[in-house]
Amino acid sequence: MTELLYPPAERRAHDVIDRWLNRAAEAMAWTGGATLVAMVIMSLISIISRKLGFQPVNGDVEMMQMGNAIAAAAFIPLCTLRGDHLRVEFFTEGFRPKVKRRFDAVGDSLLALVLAVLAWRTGFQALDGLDTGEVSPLLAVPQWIPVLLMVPSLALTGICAIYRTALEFTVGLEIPS
Amino acid sequence: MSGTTLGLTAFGILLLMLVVRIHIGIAMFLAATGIYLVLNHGELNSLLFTLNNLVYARLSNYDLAVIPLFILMGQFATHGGLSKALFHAAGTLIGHFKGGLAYAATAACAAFGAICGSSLATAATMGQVALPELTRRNYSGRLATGTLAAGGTLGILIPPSVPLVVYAVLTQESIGKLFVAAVIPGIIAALGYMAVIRIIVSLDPKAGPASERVSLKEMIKAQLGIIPVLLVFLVVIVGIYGGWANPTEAASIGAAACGIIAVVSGGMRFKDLKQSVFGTAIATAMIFMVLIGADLLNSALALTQMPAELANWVKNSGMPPVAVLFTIIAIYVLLGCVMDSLAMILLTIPIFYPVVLGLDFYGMSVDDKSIWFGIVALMVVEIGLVHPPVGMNLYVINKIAKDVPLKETAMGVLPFLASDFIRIVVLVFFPPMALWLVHVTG
Amino acid sequence: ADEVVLKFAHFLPPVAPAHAQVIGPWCDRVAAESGNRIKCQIFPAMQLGGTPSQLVDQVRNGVADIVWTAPGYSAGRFPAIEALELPFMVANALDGSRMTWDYYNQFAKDEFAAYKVLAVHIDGGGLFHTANTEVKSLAEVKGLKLRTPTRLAAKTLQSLGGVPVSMPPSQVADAIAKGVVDGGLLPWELMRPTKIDEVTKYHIAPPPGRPFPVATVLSVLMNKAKYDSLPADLKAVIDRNSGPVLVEAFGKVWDDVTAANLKYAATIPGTQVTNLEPAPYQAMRDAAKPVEEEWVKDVTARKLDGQALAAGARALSAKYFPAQN
Ligand code: NA
Ligand code: NA
Repeated sequence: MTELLYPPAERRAHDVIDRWLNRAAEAMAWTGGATLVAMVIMSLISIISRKLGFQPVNGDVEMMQMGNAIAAAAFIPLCTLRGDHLRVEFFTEGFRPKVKRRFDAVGDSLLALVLAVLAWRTGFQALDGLDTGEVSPLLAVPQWIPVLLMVPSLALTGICAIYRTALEFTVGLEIPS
Repeated sequence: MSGTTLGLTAFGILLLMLVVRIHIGIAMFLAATGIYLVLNHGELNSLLFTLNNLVYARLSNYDLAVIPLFILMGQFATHGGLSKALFHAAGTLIGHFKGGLAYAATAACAAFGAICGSSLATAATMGQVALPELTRRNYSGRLATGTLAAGGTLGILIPPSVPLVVYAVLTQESIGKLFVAAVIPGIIAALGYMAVIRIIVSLDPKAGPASERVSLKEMIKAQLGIIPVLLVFLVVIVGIYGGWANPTEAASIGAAACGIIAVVSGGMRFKDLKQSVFGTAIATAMIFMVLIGADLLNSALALTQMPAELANWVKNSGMPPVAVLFTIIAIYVLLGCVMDSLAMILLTIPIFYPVVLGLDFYGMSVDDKSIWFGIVALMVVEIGLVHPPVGMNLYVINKIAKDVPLKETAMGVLPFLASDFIRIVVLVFFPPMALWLVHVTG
Repeated sequence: ADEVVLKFAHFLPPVAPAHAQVIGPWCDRVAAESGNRIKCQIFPAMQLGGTPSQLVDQVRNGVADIVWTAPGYSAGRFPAIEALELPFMVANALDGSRMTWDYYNQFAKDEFAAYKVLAVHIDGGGLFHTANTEVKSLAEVKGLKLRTPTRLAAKTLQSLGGVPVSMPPSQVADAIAKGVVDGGLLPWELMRPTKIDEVTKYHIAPPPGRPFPVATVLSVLMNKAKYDSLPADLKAVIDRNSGPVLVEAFGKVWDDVTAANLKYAATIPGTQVTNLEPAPYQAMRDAAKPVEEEWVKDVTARKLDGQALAAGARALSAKYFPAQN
């Protein structure tokens, strides 16, 4: 499903690795949330000062763009660790849990692979931005900075997906959800 | 292999991947990868360099920034006790009619939908508030769960609406205009659901007994309780439509306002804040992962030239435009049996949009067609949320109503589904239903 | 012989004059002269993904074979060519494009070394399009919120006392209608595609023949490896159709569209097309001087001879547009 069922279930940690991944993913989510709230406040200041006849915050649009990219990336690990990514459940609904879990192991290993590639290419893009010297139009923020800030999130997502794959391949273990 | 064959083959493989539970965004990504590799005869560079900026370009899109903001706003609204206040206020107003609390639940869903961009969140939130009350008043399980499953869809039918934002970004359409266009059809949807309730309770009066009338004083007090909601709605909606903010800014204002209300009137504590943040994180992440995959798939499909060729073929086939449109609607209904609304929009709009824009509907301008088709598509994918077998809203509501069998809920939603189909047919033959307000406010 | 397919990407919709009147015909000509051995696939409106600022990367990396884009969208990457976007450089598109090609050959070839450059040209210059404010002098620009296309356009507007706002062209009309911005600093050419003619009342240009406050450099870039991989006769076809020929084709189409839009704007009831008086125009030019000084400093810090670049651009501007002040 696209949208979250409220409230998100409390997640029970499965083992030590799980506990640490969970802490890391939650810390990332808090960072993303804080960034998002900072963008909300910046946006409010900009609108209010514009309405009062002063200048809007200089570069508010590009700040929102950079902030949103960093925040959205930071949200992905938690979603991945909890196995909340969208998929079609319909056709496998009647399958035994063990079989479903094997399918999910394949799905999560592909997720890990794709995220590893994306982390690599995004890191590459950050390095490239260092060379080309591209900056944001009004604030002249070097473009590689927000790009680089997404890489840890993407890498952590990959690790979470690998962890889930391992869990799903291990027979007899309950997957925490 | 011709481009169209390649595009269709990749599409088939994509559907197969979906069947075996591969994450939708990842499946789209892999199908796109296949297209790139075939087109470039196995050469990797062009694909790898396309990937360089894939994530940042998608996530830094200014229009898409409204999605986490609207989700955050909905999370705060949920934790601020706004849903309860809405249902209570509507109940004191119209609860004393036959089926009155079902009307009240629909009205509260519509009002909540006006500050929440998500349908499942609306269903879940209103369900938790309204279902116990409906059960206590001896409403039939079928009517109670059907009303709330259908009412939940008002979360996306009434703006703000996440699927409309995605449609706007895919088609470079104005978010503001699409939101305006959705207002009247959204209100008509709510009225349609109330008409269905009316019919049900007149056929079976026991399904929805009337509650006793409350005192005027209590009624006024209840109405005062929803003033914060009205304020947020006015700020956001008037902000976007009436003009002094763009959608991203309006969403910021709405999120801030709902956050403040949640703290002041709802007594939001740390646990609630944590759930708001995590809820926002997870919902945002699942949407953006699909967006990333869809972005790559769209580029790959453009490279095959399949969407353009398909659009041309349909245009030259001599099929009547309305027949083409109903075929598209039928495909949506079928896809909706197995797929999520947003994934459907992301998957199909790049293909269907050029087709529809290439056809003549009642001599409408390209701009009008683009907005009108957006609302049609929104309404059709929304149906997928409530029709069996996998309408998510059914599950959400049924989980809350522990003593109602799923089959009863599925039966309960059918009459509401009928009103959805009637509304869609009317919109197909009468585009002013969506466009009139756009032209008046334009 | 094998057929060569060129993926030609750009950021405007297919109805844009650049697509319909320049890029499309260019592809047809190249196809005809090569005996249909070169074929274009045109991808308008960023169909290959990404944002306009990434077109330069897409062509460098071979995602596209040719792109038409504004180097200024990737702020800071092409500092030398940016000199032509300094305030008050360009008065029309044809002479401006010839001047831009001239400047490119003298000063900016190095920074495009990673590309096979088919054309570098310029739009006709951006003027004030406003909803309610008739700009007569610096006094009216003060506090005016206008959409600006590039980094230097933003700085220029700031130097005049206005407030630059950046947003995609597709949102400008809506933003003006709702008062989010007061108007835009845009070329005539973009007036109708962005529909700002429907929401603005005043169109204020410099005195006739004088340079516009802002301008945007544009370029047609080809992937170098792709070009090198072509047989000699096909290279010759590309060469014959690029450089000054292509530069002037863009310039002419821009000026034609400008003339048509000017004429059209004059027919809209209630719309005013005016020119600034020489004295306030001169005051604006003086006010914008610091932009150039700051730019020289910036560029010098990046190890280019900022002074020489700015002076070179000014000298060419004086040559191509003798009526300066
Ligand atoms: Na909504
Ligand atoms: Na149940």
